[in-house]
Amino acid sequence: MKNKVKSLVLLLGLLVATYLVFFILQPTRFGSAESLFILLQQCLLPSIAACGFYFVLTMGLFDFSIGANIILSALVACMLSVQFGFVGLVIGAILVGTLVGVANGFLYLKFKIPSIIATVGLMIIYECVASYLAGGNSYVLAEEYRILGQAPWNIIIAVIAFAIAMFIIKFTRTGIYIKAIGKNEPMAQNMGVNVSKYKVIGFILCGFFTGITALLTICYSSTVIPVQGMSSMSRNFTPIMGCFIGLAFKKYVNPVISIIIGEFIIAMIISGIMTNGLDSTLQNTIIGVILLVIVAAMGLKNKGKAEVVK
Amino acid sequence: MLKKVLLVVMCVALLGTMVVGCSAPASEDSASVTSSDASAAVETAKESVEPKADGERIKIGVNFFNYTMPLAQDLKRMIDSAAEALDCDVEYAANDFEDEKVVTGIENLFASGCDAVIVCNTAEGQIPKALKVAEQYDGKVFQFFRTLNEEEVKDAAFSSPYYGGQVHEDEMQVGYNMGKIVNDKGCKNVGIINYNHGDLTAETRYEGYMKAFEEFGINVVAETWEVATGEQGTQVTENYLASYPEMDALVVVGGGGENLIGAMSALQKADKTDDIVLVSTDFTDTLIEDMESGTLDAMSGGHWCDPFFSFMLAYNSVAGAEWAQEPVEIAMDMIYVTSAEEAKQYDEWFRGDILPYTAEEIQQLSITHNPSLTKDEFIETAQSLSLQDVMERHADLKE
Repeated sequence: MKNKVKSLVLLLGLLVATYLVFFILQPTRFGSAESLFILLQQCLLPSIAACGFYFVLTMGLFDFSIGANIILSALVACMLSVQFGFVGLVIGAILVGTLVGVANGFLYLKFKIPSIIATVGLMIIYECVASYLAGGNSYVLAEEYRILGQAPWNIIIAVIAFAIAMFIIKFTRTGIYIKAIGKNEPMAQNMGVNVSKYKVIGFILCGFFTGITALLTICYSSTVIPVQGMSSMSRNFTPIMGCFIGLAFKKYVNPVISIIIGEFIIAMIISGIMTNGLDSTLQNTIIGVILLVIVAAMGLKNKGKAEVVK
Repeated sequence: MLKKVLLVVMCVALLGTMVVGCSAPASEDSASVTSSDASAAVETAKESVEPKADGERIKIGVNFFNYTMPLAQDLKRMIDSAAEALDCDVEYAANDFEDEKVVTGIENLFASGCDAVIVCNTAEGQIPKALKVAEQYDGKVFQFFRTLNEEEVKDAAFSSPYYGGQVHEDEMQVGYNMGKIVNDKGCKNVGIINYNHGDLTAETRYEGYMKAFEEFGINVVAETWEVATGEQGTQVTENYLASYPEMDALVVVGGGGENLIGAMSALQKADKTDDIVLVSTDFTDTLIEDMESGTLDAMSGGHWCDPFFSFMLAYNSVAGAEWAQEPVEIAMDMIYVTSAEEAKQYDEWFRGDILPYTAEEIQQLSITHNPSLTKDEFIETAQSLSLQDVMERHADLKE
C-alpha cells in the first residue's frame, strides 16, 4: 500500500513538475485550461494504442506493426465511410484493426519466429496493402464524420476504450493469464495456461485497440496517406513510450492510468518545447531521456524483485 | 538423397553467381565512393558518352520516390505521354526516399538497358556515386526537383561527361514569393510548420520565406519542424492556436500534403479558417474545394513538369543534340494559385484530358522531330511554363 501511494505520488509529481517547468518558462503561452484540454485530447490517441500494446508487451512480445495497422485501418474506414457512413467508419476501423491483430498472432505462432521480426515483416506488408488500396489517391474523411475526433465524442470513445482495457486487465481470466505469462511463462504453462492461445489473444487485443486509435486518428486529422519503406514505424514510438511507462508502474498503479499520465506528460513536453521556441528535433531527445529516467528509476526501485521483460 | 541434390544445386547456383559477379562491370568502386571523392570519379572519366545511332530505340530510366503520391502520378503521366509521343521506352524505379535505393535504382535502370537515367535524389552525396555507375554503363545521369549546393560536388558533376544537368525549382524564390503573398494578405504574425531538417527543399524554401518575412517585417511567432503526418499537423496547429492567439497566418512549408490536411482540419475544427491565412506548397487533391471554402488562401505547386523537362533533356542528349552533351541547368518556377478561380483553371488546363504539352509540342522539344531546336529555345520553353502560358497555347484545343 505504501509503495502504491509512493508510485502514484511519483507519477503525479512528474506530471506536475513537467507542467510547472514549462509554465514558469512561458506563463502566458503554456498551461492555460484551454491548452491543457487540447493536450488531453491529443494524448488520447497514443494512450488507446498503448493500452493495446500493453497486452503484448506484458508477455515479453513486441508489435512493430501498430503504425501500419493504424494507417491501414484508418484508410479502410475512410473508404467504407463513403459507402456505409458512420457504420462503415466505425466498424471498418475496429474490424480491420482486429483482423490485423488476428493475422499478427497466428503468423507469429505459425512461423515461430521472434515477434519483433514477424511484426516488422508484417508491417511492410500492411504498408504495401494500404498503398495498393489507396492506389495513389489521398482519402480525406467527409466533414460530417470528423465529429468523432472532437470533444466530447473523442473523450467518450477513449473512456470506453480505457474502461474495456482496465476491465480485461483486472477482472478477466485473459488479463490474469496474460500477466501470469509475462511473469513466468514456463510456470504459467505448467499451471495449465494455454500460452499460445493467450499470446494470440494478446495480439488480437492489441489490434482491437489499434483499430479504435485508427478510428480517432482519421476523425482527428481527417486524412491518412499510406507510406512505404517502414515509414509507419514513427507512429509506433509514442504508444510504445506510454506503454513502457505503464509497464514501469504496473506493480503499484493501474497500467491504464499510468499510460494516460505518461502520454499526457509527453504531450506537455511537445507543447512546452514549441512554446519556448526550442528546436522541435529536441522533442524526441528530451522524451527519450525522460523515458529512460522514469524506467531506470522504477528499475532501481524494484531492484532485486524486478520482473524480467523478455 | 534430397540433401545431396540440394547441395549440388546450391553449389551450381553459387558458382554461377560468382561467374556473373566477376564478369559484371566493377561495381564495388561505386559503393565506396563518397561525395568527397567526386573529383576522383571525374578524373577517371575522360571520354564522352556516345550518342545513340540513328534508328536505335532510346530508353530512359526514371528513378523517383514512389508510384502513389499525387505528385508522382502526375509526373509519370506526363513522362509516359512524352515517351509515347517520341516513340521511345521508359522504365521506372521507386526509391521510396531511401538513400541506398537511389544508387541501386540507378544501377538497376542502367543494367536494364537505359541510355540515360533521370533521378530525384535524396542527398547530394549520391550524385558522385551515380556518376560512377553511369560511367560503368556509359550512360548519363540527370537530376530533377534537386540541385547541387556543395561546390565540390557541383564542380565535379558539371565537369563530368556522365552528368547531363538538372531541372529544378528555385525553392528560394518559391519561399520568397509565398512569403510575399502572406504579406499581401496583410498578415503580421506567422506560425510555421515544416518537414524534416536536412531536406534541401524544405531548408531552401524556408530560407526564402524568412527572407520575405524579414524584408516585410513579419514576425514568426512559432515554428515546428519534423511534421510529416496528418495528426502531427493537427496537433501543432491546435497548439499554435492555443498558445499564440495573435497568429494571423500559418505557413506549411512542405511535406507532401498530409501535414497540410491535418493543419486544415485543426483550423476547421477551431472555426478559424476566416481568421488565419493558410499558405502552402504541393497542390492537394481537393484544391478547388479548399480554396472555395477559404481554408486555403494561397498555394504553389504543379511542379511535376520538372521531370518532364529532365526527361526531354536526357532524350535529346541521347539522341545526339550537341547542346545537350554538356550539363544543362534549368531553374523553373512553380504555379501559384491564390483563388478558387485559379485553382479551377489549374485543374482544367493542367490535369484535364489535355496535358500541359501535347504530343506535337513534345515532338517540337526533341531534336529527332525538330533538328533546329536550340538550347536557349528549350530552356525558354521550360521557364515560360505557367497557367497563363498553357491557357494561351491550348486555347484552340478547348473549343
